[in-house]
Amino acid sequence: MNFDIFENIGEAANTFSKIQIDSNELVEALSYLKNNAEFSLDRLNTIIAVDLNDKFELIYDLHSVETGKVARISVLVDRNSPHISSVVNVFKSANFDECEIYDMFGIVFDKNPDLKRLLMPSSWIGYPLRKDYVQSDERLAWNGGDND
Amino acid sequence: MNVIISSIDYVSNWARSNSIWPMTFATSCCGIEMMQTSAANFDIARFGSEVFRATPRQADLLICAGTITHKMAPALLKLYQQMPEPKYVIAMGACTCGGGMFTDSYSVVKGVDKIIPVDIYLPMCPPKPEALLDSLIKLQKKIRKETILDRQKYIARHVSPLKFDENEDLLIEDSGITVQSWGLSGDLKEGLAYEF
Amino acid sequence: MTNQESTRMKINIGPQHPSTHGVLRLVLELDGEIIKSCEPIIGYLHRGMEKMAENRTYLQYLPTVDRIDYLGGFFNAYAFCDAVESLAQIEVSERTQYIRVLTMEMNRLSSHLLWLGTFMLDMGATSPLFYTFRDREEILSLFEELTGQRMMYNYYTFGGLRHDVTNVWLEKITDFIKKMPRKIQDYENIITDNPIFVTRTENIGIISKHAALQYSITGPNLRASGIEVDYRKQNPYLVYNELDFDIPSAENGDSFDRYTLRIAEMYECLKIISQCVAWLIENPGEVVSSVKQPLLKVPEGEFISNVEAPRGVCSCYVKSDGTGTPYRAKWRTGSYYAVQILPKLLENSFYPDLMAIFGSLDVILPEVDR
Repeated sequence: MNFDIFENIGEAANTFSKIQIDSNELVEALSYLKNNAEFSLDRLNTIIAVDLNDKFELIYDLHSVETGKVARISVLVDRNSPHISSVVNVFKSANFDECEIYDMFGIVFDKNPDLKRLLMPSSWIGYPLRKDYVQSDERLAWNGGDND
Repeated sequence: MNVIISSIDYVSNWARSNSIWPMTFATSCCGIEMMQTSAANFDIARFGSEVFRATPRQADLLICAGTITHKMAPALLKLYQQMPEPKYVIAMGACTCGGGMFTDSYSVVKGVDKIIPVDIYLPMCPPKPEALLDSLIKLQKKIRKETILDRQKYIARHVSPLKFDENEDLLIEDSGITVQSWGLSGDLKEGLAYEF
Repeated sequence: MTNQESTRMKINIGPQHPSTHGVLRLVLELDGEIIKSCEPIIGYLHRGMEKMAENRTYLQYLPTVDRIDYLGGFFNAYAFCDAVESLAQIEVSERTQYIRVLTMEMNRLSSHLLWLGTFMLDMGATSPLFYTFRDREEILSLFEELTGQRMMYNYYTFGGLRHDVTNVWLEKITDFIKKMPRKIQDYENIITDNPIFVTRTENIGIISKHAALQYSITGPNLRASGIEVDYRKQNPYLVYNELDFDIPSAENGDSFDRYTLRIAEMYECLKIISQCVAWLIENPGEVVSSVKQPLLKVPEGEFISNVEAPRGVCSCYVKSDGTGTPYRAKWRTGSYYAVQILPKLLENSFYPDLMAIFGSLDVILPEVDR
């Protein structure tokens, strides 16, 4: 992939700009940013998932421990078949992030060793943080309503 | 006859109300205020709650401090069922009284009295330690009015508002949902299953 | 002939337990006394904080944000305020910034005091709990005098504070921090050289530098492993670049180092507080914001704000679509990753060391589950 798009990375942590890349270049880009001595973005702060109405966006927030610079890598995921490769081999802390995003949005991370629901009960139906999640609670026993 | 019962009542209620031992059930923020109540400044031990028991088998008060979510609810129900009679419940904090500020959340039980019967409601977010002590004093007054002739009535009231069928599964009649829970006999079924 | 599998025992440390960290469930597999595997199950306190942001206006969401880490309510409120102020280009006066630093550092001190008391309680010593809660009670009374609440302050607004602090209150803080160093010294005297404590925590639960970066550990846990990173020095926000304080660090990354590091951080908090009080007494100014809070409409954009909270780095991502409610709010907290590294730390360690490791990581479950 073309690594020139990363030339201007390295602002301070209290500004915001993100770099858009393709979803199949994700693991390569993150490994490059982590191992390259010029950037050395060696800590994955968090993975943020946003539900834009026709697609999902994943933002990878990378921080550098030595220099304090940050980089935000943004990837778009198709809504109808949300699959993307996992980055657990590059950053181990991505495991919990990806399980939570699977739990909340339904995005499947291929090659994640243990993808399961993390915050909701394991047999919950639906993905709560999607914009079209129906919060009508008649399905759930203890939300009262007309049940008793 | 009633003279004898009422003097026995007086002694037994006096003994029971002055030594209520709570159980540590602190889920979230109200738990910290419960801990502050048991610390040196607002000592709860002077009201008789000398120790906070960790196990429900040795406790007689469940101070339900903190938000209860759908994932946590079977655990709370099982803890309540494991407590021996006579038992009492204080619903501490706005989240347990009726959902609190999480009323529109998808994963919060809107009030713990949908799961277990509650004696004293204590709103505030979080209640000051003085408020928790005030609710404890109210509970003591409530206990002093009890009588041993009505013991069966109290035990009959100490059941969960949820309905169970003969397989000990949770039953919701109108909506046709069956929700598995941890059975009354104590064997652990796998978590909570929502099916429809 | 015995089956190899039959010597292993599965134990469930259930969601309710007398440890004070919250509702965490650990499923341990034990071989005798050695922990072979540990699976943490979280989510028992998931209240849907992030979804709540999409149904409320900015001002309605601000008081609920304190509940994410209730021991550091000011830090969460500041992270959200900072994100919104950066998006909406709202200026904050210097006196506001000093008061924010002052309240945040006092909050850090009270959080570390509670951690110390409960860590000792988990290890079996009950008296430090009462001492630290007595000191924490003084800080809480000071906050109650200022904001009206002991734990969920709701004091910051977008662009300022709700009201100004008075010189009487600042005098009380000066008296308070005069007697604190002696009290922290008292705690050190009974804990640090205690042979039982030292044997239980030295060389236990070592987090190597590589593991700390791989698992995204931040805050005191990272500094105890030897990596000196503190967002107050590296990416200064508010007025931290004008204040004089040090960043303590340690080398080994075991439980004992995490303990000594947090004690050292308490002394640094006192330094910062005294400098802020001295500045505030001399420089009056305006703190109440002129922004109409209930009608705040934030222009389109997104922002991530980072705060050095007592448990790690707390980041808040806010995405706005130009209306009065956030489009998406995401919280990243420090304890989430401490729970993730726990199985790795517990592998092949003894069962009695579980609390010595877990207590020293300073995990708070509402932060994990949000």
